[in-house]
Amino acid sequence: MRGHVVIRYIGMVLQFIAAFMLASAMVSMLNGYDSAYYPLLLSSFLTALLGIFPLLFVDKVDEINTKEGYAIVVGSWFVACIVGMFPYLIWGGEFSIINAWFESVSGFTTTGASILNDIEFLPRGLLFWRASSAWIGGIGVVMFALVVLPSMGKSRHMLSNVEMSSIARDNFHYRSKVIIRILTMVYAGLTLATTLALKYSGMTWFDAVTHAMSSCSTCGFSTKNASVAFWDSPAIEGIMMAAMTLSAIHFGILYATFTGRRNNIFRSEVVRTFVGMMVVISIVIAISLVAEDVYPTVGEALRHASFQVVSITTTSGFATADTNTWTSLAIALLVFCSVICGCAGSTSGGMKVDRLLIATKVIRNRMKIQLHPNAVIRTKMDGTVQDDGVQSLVMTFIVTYILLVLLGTIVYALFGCDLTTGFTASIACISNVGPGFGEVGSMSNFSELPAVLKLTSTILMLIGRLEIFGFIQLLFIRSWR
Amino acid sequence: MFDKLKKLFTINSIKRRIQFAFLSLILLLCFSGAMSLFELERVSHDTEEILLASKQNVDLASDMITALNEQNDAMIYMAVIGGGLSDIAPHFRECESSIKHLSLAVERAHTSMSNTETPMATDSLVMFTNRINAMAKAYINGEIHGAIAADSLGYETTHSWYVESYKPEYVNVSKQITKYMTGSESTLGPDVNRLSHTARRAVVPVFIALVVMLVVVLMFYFFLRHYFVKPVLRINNALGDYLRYRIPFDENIACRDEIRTLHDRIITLISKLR
Repeated sequence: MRGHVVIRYIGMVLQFIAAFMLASAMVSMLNGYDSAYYPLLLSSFLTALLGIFPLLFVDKVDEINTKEGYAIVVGSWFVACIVGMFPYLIWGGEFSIINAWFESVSGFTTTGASILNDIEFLPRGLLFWRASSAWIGGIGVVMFALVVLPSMGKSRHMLSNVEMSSIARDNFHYRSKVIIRILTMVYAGLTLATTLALKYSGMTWFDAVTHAMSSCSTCGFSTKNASVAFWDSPAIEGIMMAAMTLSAIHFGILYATFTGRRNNIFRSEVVRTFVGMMVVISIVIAISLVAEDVYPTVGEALRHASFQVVSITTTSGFATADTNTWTSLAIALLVFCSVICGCAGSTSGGMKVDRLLIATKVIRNRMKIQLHPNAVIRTKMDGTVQDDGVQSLVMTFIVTYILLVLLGTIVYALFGCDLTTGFTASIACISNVGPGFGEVGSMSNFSELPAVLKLTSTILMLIGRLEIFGFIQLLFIRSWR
Repeated sequence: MFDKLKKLFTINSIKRRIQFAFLSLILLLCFSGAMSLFELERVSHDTEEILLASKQNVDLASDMITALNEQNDAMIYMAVIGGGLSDIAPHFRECESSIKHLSLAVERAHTSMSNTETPMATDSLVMFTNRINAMAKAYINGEIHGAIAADSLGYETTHSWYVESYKPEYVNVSKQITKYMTGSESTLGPDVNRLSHTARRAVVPVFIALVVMLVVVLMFYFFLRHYFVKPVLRINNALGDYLRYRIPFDENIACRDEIRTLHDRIITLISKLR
């Protein structure tokens, strides 16, 4: 593995981050040079300098191998999280080193969990930076480097190995050179459309932009302490639900739908399952809420239930209600949504609907084989036969995911958390959802947790964002040479 | 245009690369220094503000105590020690002057306290001061004298008036002044918090800049070793091998700067010598 090449590409990523910090400083400037202007400007300068340095020494490289691709992706994420702390640390307030790290990791991994007790106290520049980190994380730090630099040749495909699961790559029917352009177009277009829709639904420009960035990255960072409940507007909730749902669908399929191709969202088995699952769960939760008198009318129950289901399933984590007060059935279903989450190839995290579908089919086929031992049964998804390697990888991923959640729960319990908080916080972090239940519910945050648990949460977030195996490979870095 | 810009920002020579690296380090050093100076200036300013506010509070409390004691002394001379009109006349003036001083000091304390971020209640101090001043004024205006003139036991009357009426008010005002002295220090809390915040802001950017500088230095060392030292050593060894054992000079150099040129020129030289 060529370390200097890895450093060069991480340097490129830092340039993008510095540009966003500068943009946040501009927001601060437009807001009358608020208290975030100076920290953002300083951070931008330091990040840019750190990023430029390797670019001056290391020449362009046309070919990079798989190991270098992994190192670039994982390294970029770590470095992005570290430099992302700078504005928070320099600004001060509630941001100690561990809190700044938590907020930065939560942003770049699009988890959306927070340690802030008073979000509205933050200056606008810093709120914009918070949303920007989520937006950068949404498309993937590495994707930015790939879009801007047109001289990378075959390296593009290698870099996307960690970023997108193997299932997502199989679904992509485009040439690798076009992939990056498609992702950017869909992402930027979706963000722009959401911004305009939110603005014309009653939000200010600032809130519309930050919430659009946060919705499309399925992060869930809000500019208000009460999150989306602050507006109490069905129109805003509807727009955000649409934005979150679209962002949790494979971007290649979205592009195919917008361009009128056959492989669209209406034909995709995964998308149909994803949307169908959300609709059914929303209705069941709404019925349980009305039955237990949590909400007086079916309409109100359905409104809150559907928003929370979409918010949790897409791994956004916005809130319009305190789900801690909901029925046990509703909580159990929301936890299920936190585990399954959106589709592969989108900005959402979690186990992914694709894996759920394959796992279900594998189990069903296994039962059929037990009944008919000589039968040859293939596992298909969207008409494509899934080979044994993919099936094995899916099952391994699910087992590893469950083991990590259990391990996380044990660590939370070890430091005094109750079982509900520990279990749901582990799922919320590894699935990059954000809010869990108990002490880390939709209307509370992670501020009360001890530092060691905040650190554990960030590790789980990174593991989840890098699709578990991308992170685990780090442990074998010595064998990469 | 684009090509010119690209050429401008493309650094392919060792000299320019090293120059840029040192420039970056110098920039970071200057940056850290400038930030330290700027933030320390702010810390110094905030500290000065806190000290000034504290000094002002102590001065005001001292003025109030002095004026109150002057008034009390005058009262003791007039009401307790007593004597002829010529004996107590100077103390009338002293008492009038102390009433003015006390009122003025209390008013200043009240105004300055209402201007702070967390104003402390000085209403009791004002009320007790007004009461003791009113009593002193009443004595000077002869309202207490009238009672003395009508009473054959005048001395006992003024003495008991002092002990029963004036002295408790004096104690009350003294307590209020003491309370003001201790309480006013707590109103400096937000200023102290701000100072702590500023001090933190003075340290954190410098610390971050130093960490960045450390990373840059490490990268510089890594790149120097990888791009300059190693290729030169490899060329040197390969050339040595060629000269000693006639092993063909076919060292592969990845860089595109002067070392590459040197490598190419050695190959040209060897081919010409053949």
